[in-house]
Amino acid sequence: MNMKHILKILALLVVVAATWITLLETSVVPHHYTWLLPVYLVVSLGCYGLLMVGVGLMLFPTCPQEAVLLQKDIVEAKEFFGRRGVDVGSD
Amino acid sequence: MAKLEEIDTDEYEKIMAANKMKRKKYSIIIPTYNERLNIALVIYLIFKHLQESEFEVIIVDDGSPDGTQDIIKQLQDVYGKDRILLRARPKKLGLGTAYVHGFKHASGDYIIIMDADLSHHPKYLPNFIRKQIQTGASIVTGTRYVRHGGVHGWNLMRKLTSRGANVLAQTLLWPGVSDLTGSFRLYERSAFEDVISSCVSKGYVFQMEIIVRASRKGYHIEEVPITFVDRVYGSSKLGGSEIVQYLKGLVYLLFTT
Repeated sequence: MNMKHILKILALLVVVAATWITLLETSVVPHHYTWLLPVYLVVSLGCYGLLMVGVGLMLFPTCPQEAVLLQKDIVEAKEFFGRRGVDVGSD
Repeated sequence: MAKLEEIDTDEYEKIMAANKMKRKKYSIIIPTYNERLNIALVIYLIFKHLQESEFEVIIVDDGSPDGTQDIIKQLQDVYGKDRILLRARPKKLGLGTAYVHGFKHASGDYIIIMDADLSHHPKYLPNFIRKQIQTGASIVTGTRYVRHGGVHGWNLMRKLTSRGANVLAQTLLWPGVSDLTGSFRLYERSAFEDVISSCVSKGYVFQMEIIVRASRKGYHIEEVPITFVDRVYGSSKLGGSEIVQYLKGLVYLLFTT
């Protein structure tokens, strides 16, 4: 059986947490900066999400011509059924 | 290329028999409720666009009070009871069980599910079929959110919630498909049977559950662009409770798939 998805996410979080703790323990990066890293991470993720939503909204694919084509199809279908006695009057 | 006279009859018959054996049958399952007018239009368009394939349409009507089943019977007179199967149920019993019910009566090698309200246009059916043949995929799902796909009839708010919901679902679930709530899909028979047996959700969360579970199980999934014309303008489908339901569905899928 495949690993459950939630376990994959937890594993990822564990790796991130371990990296953060390592950075805290060693002094590669200044402490006051390291403490705030998780906050930066969450905020960046949030901004990325909002960006994806905004960009997606701007580029949302629309198809107004399809409504027109659909109307043509409906007329064609109604004519077909009118000739064959299928009751397709408006509801 | 051999001239027709040069192929001997035996060889020709073998080729024709092989072709017939390869010819796959498609079962199209359409759940309906009060779709008196739309179902006739959908049937007409299916027969218009699928002239090259062998198929049957299975309509699962949940006791529509508007006479949908009468129209279906008239359609059976036009197209034949062997092409249009009416497998009704006494009342509204849910979408998931409608598919299961339809599947019980399906004789095709492939199962196609689509809506009856013309938001899914049958002209895309050959694209689904061709994609499956070309790639050998187990599942082909229609997506509204890519180039050559699209939506018409949604206002800004609707698009915003759709996009926000999609980004959230992609972040949490990594589903591997761009359109999670779509219900215009083609399944290999065995894949359909396998996945649907493990799904328990209701409504459109059900559509999400199917595709996420299929993705987790490692099925080969391909996408084709589709256009979606929503003629029910200002539909009440996106109230507060719908959003709560969706979030609950996401959490459920996050922990159980």
